[in-house]
Amino acid sequence: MRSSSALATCALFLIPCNSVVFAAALPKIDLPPDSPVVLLSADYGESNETARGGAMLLDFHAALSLRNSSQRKIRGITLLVTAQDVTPGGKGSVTVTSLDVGPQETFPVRIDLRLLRPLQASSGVPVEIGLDGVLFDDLTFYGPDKLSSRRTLTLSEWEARRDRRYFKSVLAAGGQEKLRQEMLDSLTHQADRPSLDVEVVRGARATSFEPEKQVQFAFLSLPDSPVEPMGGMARIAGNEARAPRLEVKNRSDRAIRYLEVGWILHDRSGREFLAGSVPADLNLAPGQKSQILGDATLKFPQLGGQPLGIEGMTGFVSSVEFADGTMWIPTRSDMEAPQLKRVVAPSDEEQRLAQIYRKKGMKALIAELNKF
Amino acid sequence: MKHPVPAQIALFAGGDLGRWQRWTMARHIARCPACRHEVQALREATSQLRELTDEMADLPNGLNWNRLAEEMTGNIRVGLAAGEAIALFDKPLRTRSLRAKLKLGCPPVSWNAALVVMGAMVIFGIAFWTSLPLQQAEHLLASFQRIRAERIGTLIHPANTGASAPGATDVVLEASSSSIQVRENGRAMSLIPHSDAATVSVSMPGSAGVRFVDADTGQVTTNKVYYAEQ
Repeated sequence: MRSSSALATCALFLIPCNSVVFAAALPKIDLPPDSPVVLLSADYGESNETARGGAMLLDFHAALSLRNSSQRKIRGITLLVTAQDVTPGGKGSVTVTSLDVGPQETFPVRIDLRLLRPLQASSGVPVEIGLDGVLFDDLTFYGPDKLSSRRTLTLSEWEARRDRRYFKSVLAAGGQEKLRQEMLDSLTHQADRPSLDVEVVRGARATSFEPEKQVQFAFLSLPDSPVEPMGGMARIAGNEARAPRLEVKNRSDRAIRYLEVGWILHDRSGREFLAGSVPADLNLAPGQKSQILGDATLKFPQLGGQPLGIEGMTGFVSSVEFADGTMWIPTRSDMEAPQLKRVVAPSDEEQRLAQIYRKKGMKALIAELNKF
Repeated sequence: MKHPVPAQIALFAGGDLGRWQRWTMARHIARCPACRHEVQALREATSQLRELTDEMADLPNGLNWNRLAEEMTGNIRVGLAAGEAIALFDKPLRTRSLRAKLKLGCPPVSWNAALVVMGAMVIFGIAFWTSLPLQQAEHLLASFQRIRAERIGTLIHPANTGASAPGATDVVLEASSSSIQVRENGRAMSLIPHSDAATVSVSMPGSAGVRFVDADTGQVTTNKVYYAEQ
């Protein structure tokens, strides 16, 4: 049927179509029987689903109220939100970190995601919410960990402890004025940090027709890092970087099972941006070397309306997980290195503390620091 | 006076008739007030429906369902045609073996018959092209040009093994200063709209996340979307 004629015919009937509030089939919340959190209430607000081409777009909003039914304090939680497991964009997650929720206390979790699922699956439950993991204050973990939440939450908790310790030491050494200065610096840094639009294309194949060149990584030396980057390169074509290959050596006395390398790009005019991270699951014995290969392509569409010309790259080890489950993260003094400070965002906890200072003032900030 | 059937009038109102039929229909409409009124009514209804659908649907910027439908129809035609064209393009030349076959006593070619067949094909091609609605003809032409450009690009840059046109068929996660989007076949859908104050992060295996301090709860919240395999 020809399109405009179809439109003309439809005009006679004026059939309302497209957007539907999915009240008929409520989302399914699936918490295990022995879950350390219990659902008290759920409000789905303005959630709806809309047909878009060959897919349904779920605009999902939920305000959940959960209770800590365990005997330990909760530090973080990750919920897995699934509209369709095999559709790109069909799966999302919501992680809340820097929590301090005692036994039997309640806490809110808000979900605001848009997910995709095929039209064929339009019957039944539109969204399933499951628990991927909960981290407690003793760093023990509960949950299926499908999204590596244990690592993410533990890393965040390590950073939170590092930063709270740092700000407490600032308060002790320099008083409120010094702490105020630190908070103002942090807020300025958050506002001024350069950002870049990034596209991740799965599979390390070129999509640019510009001539390709191999560019060597430079590495930031972090003295305490248990991993030493030995060398690395990536293929650069125009505004596109792909197939990073890094060689690393375990210089600690413990086996390593995971590490993540941050990736800083330099453009033709000398500006720097944190492009992304290259994570690697590996089994690296003490003294052993290994290669890390990235299998995706990062594209940088433009910067202020101009194409970005990549000229150089710098890598730095941003986190390491040992085989025994403990982690290494850069110290505060490592993060003070000018190149890192310019491009790396403050930790979750630093952002939270800075917001407390901004909204409630110095007293509230000191009270918050003293809670831990 | 013989009036055209309603379906023909609807096709004319939507601009979907071929050149010849459009011309004959225009001649009739110039002389027939009843049909002219019918065409006018259909065009107004189409315009109203377009406005209505735009209001009803929370469409991404620039997405036009009418245009999408045309592209889908065009893509089916282009897919079929391109498949045949590329198959021919990729076949090795067989000039020598054909000559050899001729020498080995294959049935003699009737050049007159060949000319008749070629003439018929040319006439059929012209008739097909002129009967195609203008928008679809333009779309078909543009699609052929795109296919040609892509193939030439691959040949010019053999170092980029497996290079493809940006946005052709790849599924892309895009993290920008305003949202995280998933993009497929050149169309984007915003999955996590966010404010400037949020911190966007991208991980190489194919996830993108947005971290922000929730204004109401003061909690640090990270929303992430993933590729399917993760």
